[in-house]
Amino acid sequence: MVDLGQYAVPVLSAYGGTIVLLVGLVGASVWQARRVARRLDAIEARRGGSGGGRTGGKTGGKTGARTGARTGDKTGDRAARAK
Amino acid sequence: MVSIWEYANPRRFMATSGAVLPWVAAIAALSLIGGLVWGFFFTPDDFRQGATVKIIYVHVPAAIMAVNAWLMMLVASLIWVIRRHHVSALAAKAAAPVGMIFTLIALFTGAVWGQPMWGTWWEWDPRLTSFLILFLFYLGYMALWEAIDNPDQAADLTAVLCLVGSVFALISRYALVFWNQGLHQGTTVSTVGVGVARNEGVADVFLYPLMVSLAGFAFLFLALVLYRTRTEIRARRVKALIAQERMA
Repeated sequence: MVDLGQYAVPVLSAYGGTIVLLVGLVGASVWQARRVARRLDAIEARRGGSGGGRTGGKTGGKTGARTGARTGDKTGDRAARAK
Repeated sequence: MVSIWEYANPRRFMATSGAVLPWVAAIAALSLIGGLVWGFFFTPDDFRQGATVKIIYVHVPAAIMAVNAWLMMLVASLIWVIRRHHVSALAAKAAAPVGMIFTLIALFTGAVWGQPMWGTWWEWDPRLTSFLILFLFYLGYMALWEAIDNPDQAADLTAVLCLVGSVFALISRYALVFWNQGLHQGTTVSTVGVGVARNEGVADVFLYPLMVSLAGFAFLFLALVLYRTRTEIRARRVKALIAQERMA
């Protein structure tokens, strides 16, 4: 083990705090991504499932393309067509 | 040759980012763990700082990437303002929490290092103060995105905030050049090279693990921005579908 001497507390707390913050950031990002993906899947399933899959997923989607056209939201339009 | 503007198309962005993301994440994990393990376990103590020198392997990369993250947000915001590419606005939004955490790490580890070295947790030094303001700008930027329902309007207003905050991002980096005072030492990493006396820069034994750790933070930032931007694009689609259902 590394001998940190009298500076063990500051060094270990700096590394510990950094690791906690980074793991928290990655964990929050993954949690948010899964939540959004579940919500998108639920909406698409409710709409009949034939309209298309999740953005970036394996199935394409025309539903969101129509959405984008109606709402004027270009990202929704393009994202909906994204595979 | 594929133009960079091709990635303004969400479909293209999702396909490309989905392909490169595992590789970027793997490089980030390897370099970050490698740099931190190397720095923590296999570097000697500094003759003046003792073991606290090991804090530079988290503090310096976090501080550099905190400023770089804001500059990336600035570029993405300018692309939104000038060319109205939605993916760039969403990328700026996705980068903000990552930059905020990096700024927090820099502030926290700096305070932890400063207590034994300077005898104080905090000093209203130009660089420390400008970093604190940058942290507050990150919080304000994220709050503004959440406060406005219309995504285009939110992108416009946050782009303006990002432009203003860029002044503090640059001040954070060049505070010592501008004011030449305060407790915080000047830049040391970039002084390594031609025309610089060896005793002014960081010794190689500290520099190499620091570079690996810096690469780890940079790749982690890239991986998280790609990942979070993909989430934002999906979230935008959720909103669009819900809006369509309400109109139907």
